[in-house]
Amino acid sequence: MTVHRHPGLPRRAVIQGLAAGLTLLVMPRVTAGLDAALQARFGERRPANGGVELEVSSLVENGNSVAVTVRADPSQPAPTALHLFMPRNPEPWGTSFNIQPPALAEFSTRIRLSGTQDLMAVAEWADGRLGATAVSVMVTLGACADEIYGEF
Amino acid sequence: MSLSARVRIPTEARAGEVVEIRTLVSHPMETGFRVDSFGRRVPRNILTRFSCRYADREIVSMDLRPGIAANPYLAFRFVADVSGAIELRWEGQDGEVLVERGHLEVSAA
Repeated sequence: MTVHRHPGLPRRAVIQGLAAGLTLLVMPRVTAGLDAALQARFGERRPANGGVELEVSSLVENGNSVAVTVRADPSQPAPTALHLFMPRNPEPWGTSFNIQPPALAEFSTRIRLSGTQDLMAVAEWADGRLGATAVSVMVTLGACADEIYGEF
Repeated sequence: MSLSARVRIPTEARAGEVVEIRTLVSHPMETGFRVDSFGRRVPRNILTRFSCRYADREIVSMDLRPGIAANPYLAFRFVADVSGAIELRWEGQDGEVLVERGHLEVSAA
């Protein structure tokens, strides 16, 4: 394998950045499974970029339980729902969290990840507008791997 | 299987204060995608819905799917505006229900 070296981006700094839990923001990438899930939730509507924050470790060892926090962008009006999608899971729709005042538009939970993928959080406003943020998460051991033996 | 939950429900707040509810339910959240060592599919067994009522208003509800980890954890926050009962409710796919209750006393700011 060829190793590409970037003079301005030392490998050690990159690895340290990952280890420190730095989240890599990526553009929402729509896969087939994700598109079906978005279709099922939103019909023909598709999210614009931004309006929601997604906090998750960028490198997790075990996909069985991954802590995530989804939070609406505080500079915008509060959305009525926050959704979370795991595009490469057997079922990409992770959860939908519906909010009524005086609840704040944020929640923390723990999810399963079948493997490395770009998590997507979507905020939905009362007027039908959607906003999304995607975060790349590298998973060393997917959720579906070890449980089979663990249950025996 | 009996459901049980560990919850942290605030009991006192000043008006306008942001308070947090934290919950952890004992439940396998079996996805239905796993196969046992004999090649048989393990049937799905999940909690499907969570909701929180505060002073007779449903302030939060959540659809739980197989992608939620076993022993579902949820934390969320709200602005304490009036004194009232807090009811947390989980519903499972086979109609099982778990309810946890608390009371939030709100004093003038």
